[in-house]
Amino acid sequence: MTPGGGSGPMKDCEYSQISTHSSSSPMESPHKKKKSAPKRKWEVFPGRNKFFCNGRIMMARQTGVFYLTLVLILVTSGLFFAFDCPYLSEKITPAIPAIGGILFFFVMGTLLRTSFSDPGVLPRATPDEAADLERQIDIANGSSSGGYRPPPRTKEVIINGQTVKLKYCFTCKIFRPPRASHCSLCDNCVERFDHHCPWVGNCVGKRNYRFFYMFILSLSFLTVFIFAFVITHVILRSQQTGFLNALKDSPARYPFTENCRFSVVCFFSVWSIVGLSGFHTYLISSNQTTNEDIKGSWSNKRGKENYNPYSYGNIFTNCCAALCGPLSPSLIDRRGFIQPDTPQLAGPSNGITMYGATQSQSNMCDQDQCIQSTKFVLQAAATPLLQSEPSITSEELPLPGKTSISGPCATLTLGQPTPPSSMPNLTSDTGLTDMIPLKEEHEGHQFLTPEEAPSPPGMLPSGSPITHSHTMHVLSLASQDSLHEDSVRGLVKLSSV
Amino acid sequence: CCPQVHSLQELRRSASLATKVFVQRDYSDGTTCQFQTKFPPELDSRIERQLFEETVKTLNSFYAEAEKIGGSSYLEGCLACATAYFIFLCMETHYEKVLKKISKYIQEQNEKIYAPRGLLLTDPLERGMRVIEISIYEDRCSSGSSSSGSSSSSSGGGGGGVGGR
Repeated sequence: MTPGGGSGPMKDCEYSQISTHSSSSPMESPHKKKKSAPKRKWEVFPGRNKFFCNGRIMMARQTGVFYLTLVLILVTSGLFFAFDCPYLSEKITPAIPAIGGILFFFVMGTLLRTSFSDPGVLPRATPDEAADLERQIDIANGSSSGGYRPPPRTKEVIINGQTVKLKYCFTCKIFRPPRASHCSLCDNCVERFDHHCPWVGNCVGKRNYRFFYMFILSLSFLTVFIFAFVITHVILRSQQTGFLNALKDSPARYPFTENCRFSVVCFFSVWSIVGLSGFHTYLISSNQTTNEDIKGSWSNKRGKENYNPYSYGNIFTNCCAALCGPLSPSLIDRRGFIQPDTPQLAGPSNGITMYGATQSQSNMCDQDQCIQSTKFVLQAAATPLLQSEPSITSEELPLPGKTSISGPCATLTLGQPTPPSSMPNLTSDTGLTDMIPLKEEHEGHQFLTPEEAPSPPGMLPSGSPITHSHTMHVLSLASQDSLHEDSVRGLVKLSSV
Repeated sequence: CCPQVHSLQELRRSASLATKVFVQRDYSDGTTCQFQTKFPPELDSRIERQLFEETVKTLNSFYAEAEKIGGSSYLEGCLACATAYFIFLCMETHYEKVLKKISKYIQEQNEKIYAPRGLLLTDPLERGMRVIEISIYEDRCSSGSSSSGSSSSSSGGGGGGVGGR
């Protein structure tokens, strides 16, 4: 069993001879990996996501509200099928529970699809890519001194005649493609970012927007359907027995009073869900994201020449493109195995240890390395990261009148660098308001659209770098074996210059 | 006196990585996946401009085909919607089929054109569809000093890597 590249032989010919004997892997033998079970990529994923079923299911970290959504839908539909359907199928037609069942099935299917799929997360840059970008930026800026925090980096492109600014993401170390945005809750850049929806427990982006839209649309139909037939049931029963008698009549009383309460709940949920569907229908027909609409990126108020470069011109094409267009694949390959010769992705700017280890892999000269590490130390000092535990954050940030559920949402309130004028618009528009009238949740939702600052998670003053770099340490241990061998090889190369 | 690298395996075995060149995305058409056809200067001595541009243009056309919005994609979308998207559990999407074609094409290009010149293309899918990564390898010889000439010219932009052997 040859030890692979770890022994760091100084002569290249000896090294190449060793790797000739290894079976299939050209660069390093995976012997070390075979001793411990090979890891899948989701296990070392740098974003703040939860994975289930061995990487098949991907959700945001906070899933409490998603379970609430599930419970609400199941309980409402359950009550409807249990109490109203028997009476209605007798009195009117058995098609009612059938259609209700189909709608329910559709709602659950699209909800689970939205919640469990990858919204279009962009993988973080490999160390080589990040280094290459840094080099290009330094050339463009004309200076390479590391004595100050570099200014926000932007690139301008012209798309269909409209100038669009691409911002550099310090966490993911990439220039974000147009329409992409960094979600601070999930700590990922997401393509065609719409918003982070706590109700589905995931971001809504390019890959799951159509599922999200079908979910809210079918849920609107379901709630209207249930509401209408509950009212019908109440009316029919009261016609049968007389309105007041219906209240007094004990065997019928339970379903009747339940139905009354039920319809009140339904009434509020109908208007909020229908409102949200209407809003998203408008967004789809104009090919905008919630993010763009809130910021007024393409509104005429910014200037007469301002128009949406992504729109196809007519409503029908926009709708078809959004809903029936091709579904792009997941870019993060959650279930793939980590290859020993693949460089690990660059962690967030606070993870100095991880970056330090991967730096030696890239073929930069020593001086550049010093400059880069200095830059990152300064960046890290200037941009403390969001807490990984929400409980710590909610303690440390005193916020007026937020409920504990909206704790993580509330943390963003402080951190939002978006202009204040954009915030109030959400209340009426998105109607991310509730199925049950938890009005406090309103304010929580306003701030869930992520900011566009170049240091996305970094605006919170209370983040503790120590906690996060500890997390990075844990993560880096997993990849430390391959990193170690790669860094040894890198050092061998450097020393042979 | 340095042996020419003739296959991918030989390339990996006998050559070491000198530097990597990244071909960035071209966003002038919107969010569709297209790569810049601008010829990177580091490849000047390694490969003919035409061959490289041909590769990138073919890749661009593959991606355009994958993302094409037309009759068949609408049909697929509507069918999927009608089944509450459960059909994606058993069916491969059009995009995935094209991606497989792309992967085959890249492998073929590597074997025929790039590996013999000491280059290696990485599938953009592995890099988040952001870049086409081209790895430049240097021949490693026990006796060769003639490779030092080529290595210094092509790794000039990339910073110190492997010294000429």
